[in-house]
Amino acid sequence: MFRRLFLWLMFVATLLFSVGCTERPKTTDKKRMAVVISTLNNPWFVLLAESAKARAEELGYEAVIFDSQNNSSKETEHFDNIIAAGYGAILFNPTDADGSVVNVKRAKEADIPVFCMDREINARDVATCQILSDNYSGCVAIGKEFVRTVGREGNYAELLGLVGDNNTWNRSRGFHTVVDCFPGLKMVAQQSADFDRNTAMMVMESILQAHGDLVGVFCGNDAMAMGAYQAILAAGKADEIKIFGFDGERDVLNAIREGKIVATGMQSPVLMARTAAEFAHRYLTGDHNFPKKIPIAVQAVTRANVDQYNE
Amino acid sequence: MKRVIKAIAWCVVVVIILALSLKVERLDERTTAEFDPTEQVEHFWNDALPALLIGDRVVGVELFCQALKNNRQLLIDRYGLTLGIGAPYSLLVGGAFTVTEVGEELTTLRTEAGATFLMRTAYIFGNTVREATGAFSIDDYENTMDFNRIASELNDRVVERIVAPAEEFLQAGNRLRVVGAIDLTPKGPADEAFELIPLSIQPCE
Repeated sequence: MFRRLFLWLMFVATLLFSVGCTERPKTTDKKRMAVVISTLNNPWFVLLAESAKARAEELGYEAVIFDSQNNSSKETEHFDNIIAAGYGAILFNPTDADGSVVNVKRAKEADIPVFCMDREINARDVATCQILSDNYSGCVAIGKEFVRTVGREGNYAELLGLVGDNNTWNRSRGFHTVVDCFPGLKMVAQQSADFDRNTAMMVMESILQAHGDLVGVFCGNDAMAMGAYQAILAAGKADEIKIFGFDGERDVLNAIREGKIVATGMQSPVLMARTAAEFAHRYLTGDHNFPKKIPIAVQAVTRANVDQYNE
Repeated sequence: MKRVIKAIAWCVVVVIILALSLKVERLDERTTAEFDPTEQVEHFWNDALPALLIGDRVVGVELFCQALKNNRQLLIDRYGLTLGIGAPYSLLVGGAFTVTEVGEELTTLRTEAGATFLMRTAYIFGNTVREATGAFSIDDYENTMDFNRIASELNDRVVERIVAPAEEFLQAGNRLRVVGAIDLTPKGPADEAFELIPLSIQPCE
């Protein structure tokens, strides 16, 4: 009987051990940083990723970029691998403000600090620090430029980014804070184009079929602004419909110079990425004192000041 | 007896595995209601703002103009508040002014020393008021959308509770005592015509 009891206890101990094995590794490699990016199918995020990686390498770390392909489950897989591999820190651009929280929590439980870049997660005490564009203020400035350009009356459309991303709504709210003060300006279409150029082109084509009398379109990022421009150009309305973007991408700055797009919000992906890498370095060298969130100012870029942004 | 021991062992195993596998959270802690800034802003407006407007955080307008010419950075260091990296510094400025022109959105004010300020009376946007008060911290909010709602709510109150009751005083030639919020950048011309968002407008005695 005691032999069987002994065998049972061994069985229980084995099971407990196997459960324990799914937990985090006991040590992390402080010389490695993971750069997890929502998508590399957009030049803006490529710049964010490469800037973070480059700064981490300058600071003496091995840095690896992980592409979540705008897919939360892919992001979770990356976090599993990063935690299992025991990276020292994660420079993180989330796919979803709510959905990404659990990944950051798991990293925190594994004693891996997470520094969010550009995109926010809806939790206060999980990420070590969140370095974010001040999208709201940037889009207040874009909203003012919109009213100055198209006037106080007319129909307009809005192309939203990913609906699960706080940036989408901060930009939209900043814009509407201004534009909604003018009842003559009527939003006749508001659709998501997922921050994607091709999707924006298709969405804009369908909007134009229903609303040919638009005076302007506000796009939540520059990729969508370029997609909207292609659709508007193809419809022969490039002179009538004024386009506004957000990000400060090079091709949009050129389009502003050429009068194809009216304005964009100049974000600072390089500054955000470098700041995140430097904060991670500070953390790994003993400084654990960071503000929870650091907004980075966004400037409105128009034809009047676009030449200040040559580089 | 063997069966009992076996059953107990199985129960222990199942309970332990379940305990290690599951994490139970209260549903009401997972559900986040839409943030309403009204109560917080009301509390600030009634309980903190009056003292703030007569306290030492307000720089006198003559001192402000003098410091702009002599040491702009000192003015920023002493009174300026900013949000994050790259944003302008916001501060509170107060003093006596004469109304020189009344427009739809902006009322032009002149100080005794001849400096011009543009007082915004409509279409008030952005974070200037929120930051100048120094009463709200981004770290206290679940997300930046909630923090931005505070700014928007404050701006709406300025129009409803400061500008609207003072409209009868906004006539060219009138002397007013105004305290308001201003944005200041480290670089700029000394004779810059600043836009001022009023937080108090009173006729001079």
